[in-house]
Amino acid sequence: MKFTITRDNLQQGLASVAASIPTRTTLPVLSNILIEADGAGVRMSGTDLDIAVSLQVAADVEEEGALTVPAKKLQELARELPENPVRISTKADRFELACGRASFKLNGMPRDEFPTFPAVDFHDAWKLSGQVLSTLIHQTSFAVSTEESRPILNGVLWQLGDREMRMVATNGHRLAVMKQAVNFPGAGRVDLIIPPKALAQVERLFAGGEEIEVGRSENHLGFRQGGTRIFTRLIEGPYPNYEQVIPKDNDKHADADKAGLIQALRRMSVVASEQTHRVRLSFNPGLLRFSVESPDLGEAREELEIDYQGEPLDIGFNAAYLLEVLRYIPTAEVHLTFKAPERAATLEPVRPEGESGPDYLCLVMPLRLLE
Amino acid sequence: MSGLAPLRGHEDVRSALARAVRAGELPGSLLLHGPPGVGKQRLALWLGQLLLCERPGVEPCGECRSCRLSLHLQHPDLHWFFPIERPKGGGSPEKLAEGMEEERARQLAQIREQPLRTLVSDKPIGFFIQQMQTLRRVTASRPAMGSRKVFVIGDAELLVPQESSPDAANVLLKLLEEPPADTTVLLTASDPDELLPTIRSRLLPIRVRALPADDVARFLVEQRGISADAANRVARLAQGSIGHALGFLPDGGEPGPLEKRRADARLLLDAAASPRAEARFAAALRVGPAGARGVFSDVLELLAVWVRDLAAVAAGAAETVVNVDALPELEALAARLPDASAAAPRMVRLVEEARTLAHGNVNPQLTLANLLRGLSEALSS
Repeated sequence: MKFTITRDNLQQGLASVAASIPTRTTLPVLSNILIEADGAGVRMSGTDLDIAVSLQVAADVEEEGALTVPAKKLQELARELPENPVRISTKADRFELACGRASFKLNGMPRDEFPTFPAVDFHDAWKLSGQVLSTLIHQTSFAVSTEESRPILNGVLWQLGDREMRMVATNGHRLAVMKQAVNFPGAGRVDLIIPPKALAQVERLFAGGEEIEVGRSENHLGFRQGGTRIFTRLIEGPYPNYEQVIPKDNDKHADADKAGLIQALRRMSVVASEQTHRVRLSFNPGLLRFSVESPDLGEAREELEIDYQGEPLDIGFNAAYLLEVLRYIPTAEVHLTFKAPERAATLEPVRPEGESGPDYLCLVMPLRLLE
Repeated sequence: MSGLAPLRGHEDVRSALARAVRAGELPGSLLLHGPPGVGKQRLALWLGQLLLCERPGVEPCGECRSCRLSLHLQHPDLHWFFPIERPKGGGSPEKLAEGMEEERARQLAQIREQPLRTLVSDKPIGFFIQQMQTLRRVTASRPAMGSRKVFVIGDAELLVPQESSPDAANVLLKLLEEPPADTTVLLTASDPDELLPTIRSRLLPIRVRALPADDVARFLVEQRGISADAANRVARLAQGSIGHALGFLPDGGEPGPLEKRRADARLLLDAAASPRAEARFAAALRVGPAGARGVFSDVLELLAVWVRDLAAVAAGAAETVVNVDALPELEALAARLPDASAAAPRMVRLVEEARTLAHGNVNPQLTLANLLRGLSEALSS
């Protein structure tokens, strides 16, 4: 292999792939980056087996070939190089790099030792805007579980249908679901469960408005745009039936100013128990009262004017969950619904008239109030 | 790059397993059980390689990419877990889980470098809950390269590293209760009775036998390049276990770990046969007051072999002696004692009782003082 590449292209390629390279691994070859040169340019790829990132960078290829090289060292090196063309070549398993008057030799490993990339079929790919997908990811993936006890909740559910797609994440205490109209005629419904780490890469590399292609194989999902590809391993399904927990008969509705709600909740959480973060919300016509009583610390109270006309209702929440959800509500005003103190509450954005956006709903389970 | 040591023997089990794989009838969870060191984990890895092979026949082809990665312990869908020392320092569960994966990576790297490493540990080892949670998380993902994921869990009796700590085992149990369809779990154990009954009942047991001494000797000659004489002597000591045989061989100029333990066990036999009580107490005090489940248990196991050899010599069956290098001393000892052969059953029982105590983590000094007194009484009556 032999090629010349600009320092910036080298740095950019390495930076894009770096996030997929594990810091510690039981398979040493995974700490390496795979570099392949062919007629189309140079392709750099890395994987931690859960996700793989691969991208094409422009380079002047003299001789085709491939080798894997320690990624961290190569990236450190690239960062320190002067702004000159970088000449790269290989001799057997030795990787040689020259730039300006500096030259380096790194011990590589043959491509054969590197796991093969998933054979994802892009033939019948779903095509959608990177921006739309990024919004779905951003608004839902925060809600995934980080606990080990139910691995399936460590993933984000992506449901693709003919007319609509949804993304859902939950940890059992709170849930976020976003819907978006699409047009995939005849595609049928597909449920995919994806590690959030992969979605974070999609969000990072494909946030622009360009169209991206999404293809799948039995065990993997691939995202492609231009020369950049992201592959992710799917998580074993089926995902629990989340629709069952979304209340359909919440009869108490309130509209509140999001910023006011957030500020009050933040003040309440200072005094709330550090274990439960329990805050009492008392809904009265026109007025929401917050209160916290922590026996060993003290008490806190606050009021906020809201739009509420239902019967008075006292309901407890983990303030941290409420605050987290509120942070992702994209509008200034938020719509809340309840039924009873032990039933799930929902939060939705209130869009100003004439504005529209994707359907977005967050759900928070209440905490039992101590009388 | 180096990789796994070659698999030796067990042709009957291999062909039965390969038949089951070909017929698509291999159960999702198996237990390979048999004497320690006979190659159960190696056999499980072989089965993993066969399951992942791109052109499987009666044996894995050994040449496809998948086979090459498996043999180098680099296959992303072949996961090998074994008991480890608990990482130093505490920290959050995440830190512990990371520390355990690092330790596993370190040991895998060592095996890749030295496939014939002797798998004998001085420190107490076990499986911990974080390790099994890591394993469970991996099972939740689809395979990375092949069409299946294979998990080998060696020395599975250590899923319960000490009495009343079944946490790790229970995490694995959750997996065995609802295994994903594309997952094969292979446990190995030399003492399957030590597994939780709930786990054992979910595994199809497969017996792996000790190898003929000739096979062990040939392996040592081919792989370690020692003389046929030395190989035969060690093979006899190892009683059909390549793992044990490797433990008896010198390691970097030092006697092998098992060789040291055999010498320690021999000292215990001498102390038990000594007419002086202080010799027995001195021997008991030579061991530490803690760590009964580590080296101490191995020494007791080898003591039982010495007792058996002494009895064989006393009964006039010197040709069955395992510790052949000590034959003259054993004969001298037997001649001095009233009737070592008649005392043997009681002695072996006493040693077994001591091993049970050691497993329960009773102070080794007390266990040993008590055992040596019992053995001494048995020998002098």
